[in-house]
Amino acid sequence: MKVLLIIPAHNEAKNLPQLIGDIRACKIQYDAVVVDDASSDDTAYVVAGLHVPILRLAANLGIGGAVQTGFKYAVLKGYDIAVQVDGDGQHDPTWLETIIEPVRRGEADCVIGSRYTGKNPDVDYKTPLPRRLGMHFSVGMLFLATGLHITDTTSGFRALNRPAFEFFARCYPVDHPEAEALLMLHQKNFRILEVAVKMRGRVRGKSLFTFTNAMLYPLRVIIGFMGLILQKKG
Amino acid sequence: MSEVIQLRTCGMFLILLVLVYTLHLVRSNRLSAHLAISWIIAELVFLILILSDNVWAYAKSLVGESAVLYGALLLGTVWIVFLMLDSLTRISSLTVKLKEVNQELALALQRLDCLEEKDRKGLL
Repeated sequence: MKVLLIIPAHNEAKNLPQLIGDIRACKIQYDAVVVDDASSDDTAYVVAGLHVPILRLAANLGIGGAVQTGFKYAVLKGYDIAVQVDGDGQHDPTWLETIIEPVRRGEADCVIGSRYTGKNPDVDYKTPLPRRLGMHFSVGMLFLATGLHITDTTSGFRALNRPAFEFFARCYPVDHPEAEALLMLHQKNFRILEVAVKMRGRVRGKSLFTFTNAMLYPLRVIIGFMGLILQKKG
Repeated sequence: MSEVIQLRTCGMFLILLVLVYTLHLVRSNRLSAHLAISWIIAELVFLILILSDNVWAYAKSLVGESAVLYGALLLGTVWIVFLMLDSLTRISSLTVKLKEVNQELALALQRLDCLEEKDRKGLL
């Protein structure tokens, strides 16, 4: 099965060499593509030096638009599994097989690498308070809307099979899309599974999940969910 | 009565001002005529309603003087909200199109990079 790692990156020139190095150090060799979300730093230049295919967005689309570009690329190139790996290096490539394997075995259409799953929570990862609050909120909202209990709705470390990423190539939420994307998958009867992973803290650069973003996050989740629930089925 | 005339004059000047500004935006190519047409029609309708004594007299005879003012205000507000929603719909549609163009451009550039790379290696 052909697996593609989709790495959305916005001003991640300092983090990408380490991440690509870690991916290449894995036992299994994966194809990867970096989606440069109109970075103002040397991200494109650094990626070219690493000899990894790059999709350069002319204007900043946000994480949702960037990841969706990766899904479109995966569809065009005929991949069977697409895995989102954040360009900030928080997603440790040593856990790739853990999230890919259930998709490969056909146990799920989407597998989420979770830091908080009850069986094996990642006690080393310290989630910043605003992010934790936002995440608890989206966990509750998702549970109310679907009955699904997903512990790590904000995790972008996900593996999807071809039908699931083909669906996302056609439509994918824009801002902080993780929780909304799960609702979309559930509405289309895709099977979602969580597996325990450990994540690393961001080493360099700034997170896009700022205090202001964290404060607005619950509102965005409500609006996003309302929009999806109100949308005509089709 | 004089209060009503003052309000009408004030309203007329405000609408004229907005109408002139809308036309200025269209003339200076900052606003598409297709997008502006619904706003221009709305402004002209408001202007005619304010200037037409017959319409005012008829409306007053139906619901009374104060109710006409409140009614006009309510209708105006609803119409403006409708126009704003129409504009937001157009913005949303254009945002989606712009995103798709941006993504297709990125995919096309990547293909171009691949072809150039193959060309450099003499594989084409």
